[in-house]
Amino acid sequence: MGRMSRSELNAEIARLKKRIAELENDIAELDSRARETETETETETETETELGLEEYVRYGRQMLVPEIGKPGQLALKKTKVLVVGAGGLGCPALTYLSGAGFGTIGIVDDDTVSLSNLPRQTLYSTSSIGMLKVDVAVEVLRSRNENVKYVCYPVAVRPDNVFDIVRQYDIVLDCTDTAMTRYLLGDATRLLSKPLISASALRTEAQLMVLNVGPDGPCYRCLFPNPPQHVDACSDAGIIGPVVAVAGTLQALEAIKVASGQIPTSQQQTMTLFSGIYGRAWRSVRIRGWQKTCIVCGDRATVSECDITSGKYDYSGLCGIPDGYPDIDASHSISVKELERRIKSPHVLLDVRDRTQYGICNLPGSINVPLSELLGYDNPDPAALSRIVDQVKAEAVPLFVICRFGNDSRTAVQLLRSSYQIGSAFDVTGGLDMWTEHVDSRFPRY
Amino acid sequence: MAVSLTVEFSGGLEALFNNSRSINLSLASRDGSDSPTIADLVVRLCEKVMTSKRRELFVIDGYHVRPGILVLINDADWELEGEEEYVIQQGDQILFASTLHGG
Repeated sequence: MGRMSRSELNAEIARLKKRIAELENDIAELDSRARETETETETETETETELGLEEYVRYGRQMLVPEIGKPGQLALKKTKVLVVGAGGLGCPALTYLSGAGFGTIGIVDDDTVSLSNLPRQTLYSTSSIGMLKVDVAVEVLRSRNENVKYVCYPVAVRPDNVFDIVRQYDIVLDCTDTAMTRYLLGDATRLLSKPLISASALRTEAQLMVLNVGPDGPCYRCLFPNPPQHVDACSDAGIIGPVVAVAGTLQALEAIKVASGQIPTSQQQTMTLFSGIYGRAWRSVRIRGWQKTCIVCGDRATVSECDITSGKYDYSGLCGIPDGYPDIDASHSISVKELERRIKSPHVLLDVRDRTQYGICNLPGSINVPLSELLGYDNPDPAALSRIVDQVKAEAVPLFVICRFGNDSRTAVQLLRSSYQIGSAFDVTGGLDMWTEHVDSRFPRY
Repeated sequence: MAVSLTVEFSGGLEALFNNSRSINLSLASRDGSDSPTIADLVVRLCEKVMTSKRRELFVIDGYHVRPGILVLINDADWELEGEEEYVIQQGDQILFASTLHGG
């Protein structure tokens, strides 16, 4: 065969890629058909009121525990549980829900697997990167326990779909990571009277609650009537894998307790706080019960299913509104390419990320003053800032301001120009992320 | 009359208090007549203890603890104890915990 030109090679590669995609599609179709058949056979031959011989062996250790026993195992088999979010909480929760033998497990997540998920999202491996989380999760879970019926929802929960999904389940686990979704799921599960097992984690701490249970049990909204305006996410504030895994694992335990009717009354209004490093590791605190003033389930509730699905009740502006960043005039901004050129001449390079992030990686010669200190929020060190201001003014050099993604640096540039009259302050557009993209691919992203 | 109590911060609130997660305080009521309440404590924390200038991350509308912060009095939701009006007892343990949303 003669040597092919570059463009011919590329065309051949593209053709083969397309063919691979077609074949993969065929396999997926075969699989899903096989799955349907499996499910049908199962329903025909096994009723939910009996266990197969394989199940006696599989769940034996769990059934030996008196609180579960055979009635508990059959109760799990009859229960349909929905896991919303297949991330740091969802992975351990799903692992144990599937292992425990719930009858049906629904998984909602529209995200794909990324490298930064792998340290704590243990259902995924390096080869899953780029694939839909729900697809990988179901494949792994099915390989561990085929008795469970798995249902995938590769979507985000939204006001217009949450009721249709939640309605089909008996218990819901909130394994999501944003305040808005937590309120939406909290409201929908309350309106449909479904127990909600809610967990969350950040940095070194985790929290867990069982909501919508018992005669006086509160809903999420009873506990937190007003959404917070400022919320930290794991991608910014960080998370330690085992901390979030503790919370996700406990969610699975609570689901087992709810399904098998084993929640002691004393636990119906408690919240569990876990601290991975500081102070008391575990606290079980008494929380308020049902609130008659609750807008979702109170005496004069004002939010209904229809209000939510129709969008009449608006969640979008509800909570976690990101801090606004100022627009910086184009003449006060430079690109990372320009920065690369201009740092060869005298200058000051100011990095406004927090100290922990600066400690992860930084550009040689840069000075770190976190934005919170520039703004005077936290333990301001006026000396550090005034040294920079003095140097920039005395030497008449440009001041380049950089951060992780180019947001905080805009706030900093605006401040430096307006409050400190530094006319030579420039925002580095796109921050260190763009530096890696366009200048130095060896500079770490995190 | 002054009482001694322990105040704890978690869920990120410690960042507003010089990263202290637990402090011991001796507290008298502002008017000196009654025993101090949680409202007195919140004012004291804002005026004397907080090191950050971002007071709005702790209180709103004056000295009212902002939404999203759980106040636990000896491991019980303050709603069960009278919220701001609760009269602090000698040796009480008050936890201010920001609710988390990560996962």
